[in-house]
Amino acid sequence: MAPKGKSPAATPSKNTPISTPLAKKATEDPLAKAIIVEDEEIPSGTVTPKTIKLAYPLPEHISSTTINNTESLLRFVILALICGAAIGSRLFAVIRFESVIHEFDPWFNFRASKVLVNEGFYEFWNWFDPTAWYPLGRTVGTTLYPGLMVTAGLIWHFLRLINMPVDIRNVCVMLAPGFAGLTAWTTYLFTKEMSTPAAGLLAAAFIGIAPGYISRSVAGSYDNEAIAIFLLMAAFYTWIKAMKTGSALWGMLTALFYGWMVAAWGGYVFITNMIPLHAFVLILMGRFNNRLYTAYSSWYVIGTISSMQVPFVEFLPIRTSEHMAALGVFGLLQLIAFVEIVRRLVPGKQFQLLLRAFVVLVFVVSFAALVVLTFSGWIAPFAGRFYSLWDTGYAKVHMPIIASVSEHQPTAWPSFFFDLEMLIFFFPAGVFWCFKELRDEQIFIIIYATLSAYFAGVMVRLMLVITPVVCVAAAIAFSKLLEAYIDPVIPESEDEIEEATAHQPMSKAKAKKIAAARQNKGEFNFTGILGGKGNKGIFGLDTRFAVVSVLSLFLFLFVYHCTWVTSSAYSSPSVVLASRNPDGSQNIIDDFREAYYWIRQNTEKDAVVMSWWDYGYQIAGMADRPTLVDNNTWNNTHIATVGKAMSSNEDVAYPILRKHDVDYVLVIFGGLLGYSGDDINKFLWMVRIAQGEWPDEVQEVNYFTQRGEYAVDERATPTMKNSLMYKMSYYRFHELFGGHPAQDRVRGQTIPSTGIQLDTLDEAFTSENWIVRIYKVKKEDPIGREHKAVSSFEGGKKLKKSASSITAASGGKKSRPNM
Amino acid sequence: MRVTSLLLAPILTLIGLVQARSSTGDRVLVVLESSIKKDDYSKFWKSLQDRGFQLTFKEPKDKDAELVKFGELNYDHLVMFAPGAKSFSPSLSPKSILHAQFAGLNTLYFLSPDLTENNKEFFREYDLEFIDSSNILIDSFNYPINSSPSDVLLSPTSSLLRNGEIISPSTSSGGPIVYPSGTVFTTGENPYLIDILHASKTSYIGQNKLLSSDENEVEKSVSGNSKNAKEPILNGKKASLVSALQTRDNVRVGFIGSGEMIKDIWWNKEIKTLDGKSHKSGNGQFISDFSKWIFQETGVVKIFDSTHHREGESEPRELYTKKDEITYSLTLAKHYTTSNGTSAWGPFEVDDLQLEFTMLDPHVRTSLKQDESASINQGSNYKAKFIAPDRHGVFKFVVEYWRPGWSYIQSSTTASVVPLRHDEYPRFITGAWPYYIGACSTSVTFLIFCALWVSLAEGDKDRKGKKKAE
Repeated sequence: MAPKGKSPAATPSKNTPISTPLAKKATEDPLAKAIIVEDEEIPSGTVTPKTIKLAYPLPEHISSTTINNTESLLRFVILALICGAAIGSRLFAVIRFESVIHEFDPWFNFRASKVLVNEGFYEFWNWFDPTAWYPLGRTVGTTLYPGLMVTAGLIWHFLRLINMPVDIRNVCVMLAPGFAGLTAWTTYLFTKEMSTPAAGLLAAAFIGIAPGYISRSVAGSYDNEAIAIFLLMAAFYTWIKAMKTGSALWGMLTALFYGWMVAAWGGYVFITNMIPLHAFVLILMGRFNNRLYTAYSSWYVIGTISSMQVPFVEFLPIRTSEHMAALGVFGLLQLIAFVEIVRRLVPGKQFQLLLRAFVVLVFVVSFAALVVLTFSGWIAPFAGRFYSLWDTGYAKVHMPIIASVSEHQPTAWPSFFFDLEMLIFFFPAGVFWCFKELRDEQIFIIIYATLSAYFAGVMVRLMLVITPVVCVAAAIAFSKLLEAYIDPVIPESEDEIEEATAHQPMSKAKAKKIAAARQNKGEFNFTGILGGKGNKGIFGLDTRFAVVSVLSLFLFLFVYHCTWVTSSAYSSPSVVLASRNPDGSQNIIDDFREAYYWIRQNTEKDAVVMSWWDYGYQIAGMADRPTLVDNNTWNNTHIATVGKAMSSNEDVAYPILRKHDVDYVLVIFGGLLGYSGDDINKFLWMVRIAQGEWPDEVQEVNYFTQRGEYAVDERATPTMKNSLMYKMSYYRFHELFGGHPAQDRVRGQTIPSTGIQLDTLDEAFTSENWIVRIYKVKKEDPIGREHKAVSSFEGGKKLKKSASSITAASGGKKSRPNM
Repeated sequence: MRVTSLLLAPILTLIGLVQARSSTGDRVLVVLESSIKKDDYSKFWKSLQDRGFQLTFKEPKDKDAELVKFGELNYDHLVMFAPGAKSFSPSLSPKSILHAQFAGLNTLYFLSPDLTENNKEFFREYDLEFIDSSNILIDSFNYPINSSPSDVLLSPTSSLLRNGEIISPSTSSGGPIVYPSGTVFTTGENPYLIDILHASKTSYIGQNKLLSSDENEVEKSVSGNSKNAKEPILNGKKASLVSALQTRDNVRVGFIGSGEMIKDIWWNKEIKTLDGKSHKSGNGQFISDFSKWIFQETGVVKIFDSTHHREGESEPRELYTKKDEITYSLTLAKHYTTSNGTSAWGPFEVDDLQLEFTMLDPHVRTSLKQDESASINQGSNYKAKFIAPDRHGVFKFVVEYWRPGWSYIQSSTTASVVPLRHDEYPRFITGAWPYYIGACSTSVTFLIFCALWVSLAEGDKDRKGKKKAE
């Protein structure tokens, strides 16, 4: 079922404002005076000139004020409905499951928001979290983008102010849908600047329900991206506005949105480079003017200062390569403005040449200075993540930790269609229309489209960045089509033209001139076969009907597709899983929370839990226990240490566990249920990351069989079988099958039924569906035995020789007992 | 913490008054093998009772001899005198004894050459390896006159190892210790084992029978196991006779190779050595020293209090700022018995105590100096002052003091070191003056420029207007 508010936008033939621009023109253009917008509307008072034929009758005698008022009312209502649809389609997760925070990172953001709300802003600012990255700790306040939490905190305070005490959790859950509504609104404004308000409404409707954006903004997905896309569009809109009007006020607004964006998301660098690039291209095209100068300067100065207020960013804007483009263009603009002034005041031609040379020289010198500064280390070179944008293989070789994240993989082609459906086909058409008109703001769209299309192809995650521009471009193309086909004016046939030319002799050149003049007026023009002729338009009602109905069908399908994708793919909280029983009823799998609450209620307050970093934020958020590593993957060595512990045998792992005061080890195991995102499937990344730090001790090859397979059944290599991860995953697994072969449903392999012996760990908890398994780390034996000896003694085996005589070869002195 | 310990201290003393002189408790279970006559050892039992212990006697197969009941120890100490017992009731099986020891049961094992294979296997868990059952320690040069060479006389000066508080000085300078027909074992590399008494240089291991002058036979018997003649001969320091083990949790276990050492006939008796001199045997003194240590009367050190605070404050903090001056103080007390037979805690004075301020690795390692000025009722106070490292993280104040014969002292307190708060940085930095001046001068210049611009521009217009008018 499509959410309610979507239908008006999706059925433009009925009562949409698609034709509003035409109506606007109707008031300005004497030629189109008779064109009436809505079938239902009262006819205007104007008299239809006899020369214009209409494909279908239009109501007459409507005053232009009525049209204007109706238009604005409709626009407002439709926009409101689109916002409603944007919010509504993001609520699947809340309705199906509950108002719960999703996935991994949102759990940290939620925890940080609680600190902000409960302890105040300054405590949040100075928050040192001793439970994260134990024992290194994390200075949270200065290592996060606080924008999201502060936004949520402000909303929470505002709601309390108006006597609406809402739980901070609900604010966090509903923040993303709320901002999605705002995104739709800013996208409307943005597109309106590019094209017509009709295209704007279409773009708003598209962005409101496009799965590419929904994937990061369903209710509960309390992540930076939730507000970042709104800020992105708002910054772009205000930038276009500033550039068009040349107003420092709009420039300042751009800077403020930019500042907010910097505080909210690391992706702000996209804006930092988009705007300078736009300005630079305009300069190259010779379109420098004072409006551009004012807009850019006010944005850059205020924006940079405001971005430097974020503790995590601080001096980055003047010290890293990512920000140098903005600085360079700022300098270039000053130079050019200076030259312009001088040129206006001093006429001499040689002097002008000299000035040009001066500009080039300064540019070259400053660029050289930049390079020198970069190599001498004053300006940090590009971060690794940026290199991986140019070379997709870079991360896998140099930064396995970045490559291990699934959202950093290159995008698969089907996902473009999956996330954007028909928009991806209309997208090039929209860009083409921008080329056709090529006003300053349309150049922006072209640059944005080119850059983001590349980035989206490189990294799945950046699908999010391309989605807005795809929506805008597709909306422009779509509205152009609709405009053309809903337009009731039937052009004169060729005979009539010939007649006309016969009556009024006119050279072809003159006709072309007229056509060109019309084009310059910004009037709609067809190209190609139709455009070649002196007249343009659609003949007959049947073509109109055919094309409009096909387009409507596209829109219906789009809504259907978006709803289906949202509901089936993007609305799972991943903290709670759902499956279908044979009878079709829903079965909730709540293993994660079960296990995290077990930890919360059954372990010491300061018990350290070790797990792979994916679960760090969840453990901190739900179990409230210290963790070794978490999703803020800032310390590769620490993660590699955990990887080493997981991928080594018990003898190697145990000292690591003890050194880091680990009390519990948590693994995710999907073999029983068929949950494929488990630790055994992530295991190779642990091995790779550990190998990066200790190439002599951990080697990836040892985890593959001789034939190069990644096996967990009896073919598994001894290294694999002895690794802590393998043991913890399959410990006592075969007992579950009561003698039958133990089947791992994720990997489809049979686990050997020879029991796995764990000497240094005790099984503490296994969740209902075995997804989460928790092990307690044993303390050293009080009488100094090896753990293997302890478990064989407890197992009833007796020693035939004393422990020392077995290992007496060294025969050294008694060592001091170690802790 | 300090408050509670201050409150607790008198209460603990009160408990000590009521109970015996052991710092942990006075209930002793004695498990006696049926073949061993209790009355032969009456002096030892008497000495224990005199020290305030309540003895309960059981046999290895007694079903009602439960060590642990409802998760609580039924007895504080155990005397296990059943080397030859082939089977035990479940509650006295090696495994349950081991588990009770983990729970805090101090154990004194009296052994003999008839040690069963089962028991030997169990003692391997402590990393002790015993010689064959048929063999005993023999010394043909040191035995009491009118006795057999198997009643080995050991000189305390050469055979006793002085380890902490285990053996009192009077014992180590006292009369010879008789080690009658006892077994011998080797202690492995287990770091928790403490050697107490070892064989003399002249002793050897062999079968207790008269040997003919046939050298082969002598050789055979000396080498111990005839089947495995290549095994090294145990002698001197390698041949342990009495050993102790203190677990990580300071539970003490003692092994005495010869149960007959505590027989009444050797208990502080006059002994004539081969050279005709007469000595008072040191057995009584040695055994009471050893059992005092095993039963937590001597060598017990306790942490009364450990606290830390910032310079100028008194309460411990969870968060310290980088480069804070931190004071750590530790109160240690040694257990002793007062003259009227009560338990008390007194000062414990050492000069090699260290404090480590650790995050993965020690960032600060400093010596803890005794603070004489501290006013505390019991024990001694140690203090260390240091400057927190310029590194944020979760740190631990770690004190570890592992000395044989003393309780292991381990203390670990967690505190975090955090960076400066946003308002704790210096507001004006001397090095930044050029920037301050630069910012101010630019602003002022800009204002002046604006003022000039405005005024001159007006003038321009006027002039232009005038020109035009002209």
